[in-house]
Amino acid sequence: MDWAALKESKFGVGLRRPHFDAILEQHRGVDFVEILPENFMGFGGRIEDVLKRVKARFPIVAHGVSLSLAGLDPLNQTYLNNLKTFVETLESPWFSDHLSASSGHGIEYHDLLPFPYTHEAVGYIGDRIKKVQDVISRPFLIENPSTYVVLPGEMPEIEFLCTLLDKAECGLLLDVNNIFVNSQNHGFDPYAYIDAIPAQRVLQMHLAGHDDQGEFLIDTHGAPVCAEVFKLYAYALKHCGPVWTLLEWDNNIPALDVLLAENQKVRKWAAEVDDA
Amino acid sequence: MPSTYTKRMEQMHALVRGEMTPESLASALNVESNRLAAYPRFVRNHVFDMLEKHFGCLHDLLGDRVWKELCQTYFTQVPCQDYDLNLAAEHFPEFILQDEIEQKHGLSVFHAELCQLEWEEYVVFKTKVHWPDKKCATPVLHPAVSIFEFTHTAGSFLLAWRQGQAGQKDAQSMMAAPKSERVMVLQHPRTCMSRTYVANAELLLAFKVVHDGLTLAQMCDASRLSEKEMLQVLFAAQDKGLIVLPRDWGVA
Ligand SMILES: [Fe+2]
Repeated sequence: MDWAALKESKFGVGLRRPHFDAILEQHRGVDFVEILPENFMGFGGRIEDVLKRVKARFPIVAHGVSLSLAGLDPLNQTYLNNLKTFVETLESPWFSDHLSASSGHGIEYHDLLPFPYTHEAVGYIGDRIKKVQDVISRPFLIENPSTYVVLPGEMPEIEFLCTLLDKAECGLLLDVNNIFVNSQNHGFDPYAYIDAIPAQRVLQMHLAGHDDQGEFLIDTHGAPVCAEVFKLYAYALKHCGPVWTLLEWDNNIPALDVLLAENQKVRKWAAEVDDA
Repeated sequence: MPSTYTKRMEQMHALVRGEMTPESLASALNVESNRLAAYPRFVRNHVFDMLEKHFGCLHDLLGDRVWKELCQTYFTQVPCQDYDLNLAAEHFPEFILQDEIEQKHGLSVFHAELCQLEWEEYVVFKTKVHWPDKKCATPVLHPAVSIFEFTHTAGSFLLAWRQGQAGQKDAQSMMAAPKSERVMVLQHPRTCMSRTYVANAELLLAFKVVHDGLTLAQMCDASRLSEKEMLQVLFAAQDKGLIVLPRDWGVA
C-alpha cells in the first residue's frame, strides 16, 4: 500500500443530526465530513435524503464502531457486507474502526472495551484486520483507543499498536485526544508515544474534548479541545505530515457556528505547524 | 485464542452485562474498581437513553420509578444484537406485554398500544419508501402507511401529550372508558419525517378512493360530495402526506 500517496491536509467535522440542515448552508472551513456508518446504513427517509445532499457537497469518510476487532465473536459478516456496499457508495477514501471490543456472545455493547495487550492478541487482531481488508477493498485505519483501565498484558499500548500495524499492514487513525486521555489515566509520556508512531501510516487524526472526572479522564467528545491536546496535535502533525483532521463532538453538541469556530482553531494550529 | 485472553474478554463481557460487579473484577485485574465501573455504566446508559428517546411519552405516563425498573429488567432480559443502537429499543413493546411485567407494574392495553405506536414512528422514520412516481397522472396512495386498529385512544393521547395537552389524568380516564381508534403512521413525502394521525372520516375517505383508483367523478359519486368538497378532502390528505395528487389538480 502506498500510504504516502493518500496523505493530504484536510479539516472536517462529524455529521450529526442537530446540524443536518445547517451544514449544507453554513460550512466555512469544512473540507470533509465524517460519518458513523451505523447511523446511516440501511436508513431511508430523512437520513438517506440528508446523506445524499451532504455527499453532493463534501467528501465523506466512514468511521465505524462495530467491527469489534478485539472481541471474541467471529466478525459480523452481515455488517461487513453492508459496510462494503456503503463505503463504496460513499466513495469514502478509506474507512476506520477502533482497536477495541464492542460485542460479545452476539450482544452489541455500543461501547468500546479494552483488551489485554499480549503477543497472542497481536496475531488474533492482526488476522481479523486482514480479513476485514479482504472484504472491503479500501484502505483500513485502526484508531488508537481511549481506556480507563489497562488489563494485565505483556507490553505497553504503544508497543502493541506499532506491532499490530506492522502485522496487519493497515493504516492508523491517530486520535490525539485519546493519547492525552490515556497518558493521564495510565501515566505515560504522550510525546514519546507520538515519536514511536510510524508516521507514514497515519492518514487521519481525531481531536476531541474530554471530561475530567477527578480521578481519571473520560473521552466524552462533549467539550472543546483543550490546550494540551492542541499542543500534542501540533507535535503529531510535525511527526506525521499532512493528514485529514476531524473534530469530534458527539455529546452536548453545540450550535454549528461553535463547531465551525472550533474547526477554524484546528486549522490555525495546523497552519502554524506548516509555517514553522 | 489463548485462554487468558478469552478469560479476560469473558470477564469484561460479564462486567458490562451486569453479571459481575466492578469490585469483584477489579481485584482480579488489579485495576481500580471506580474506573472499571465506567464501562458497565456506559453500556447500560446507551440502552436506557435509547428507551428514553423512543418511549418518552410512556415514561412520562408511568413515572420515574416504574420506568427505571422496566429499563433495568429490559436491559438484563433483552440484550441488543444489532449495530444500530436504536434497535436496542426494538423489543420493548413485546417486552412490556409479558404477563409477569404487565402484572408487576400495573400495565394495561393502553400502555402497550402507546408503546407500539411510539416504536412504529421510528420504524417508519427509518423505512426506505419506494414511491411509484410522485409526478403521477392519477392520485397515488402512500406506499408504506402503517395502520393500527387500537382498542384505546393511545394515538389521541400521544398527539395531545406532544402538545403539552395531556397527562396522567387524561390517560386514566382513557383507560377507564376505552374507545377504539384507527391510527396512521407514515413518512411524509416532503419532510421525510414520521407523521402520526388519528384517522378521521375525511382521511379514511381519501385513503379509500385513492386506493380504489377512482376518477374524480367516481370519487364524487361514491362519496356524494361535490367536486369542490372532494378536492378539499384530497388536498388535506395530500398535505398530511397520505396521497400525492397529479400536478394539474392544483394545490389547496
Ligand atoms: Fe476518535
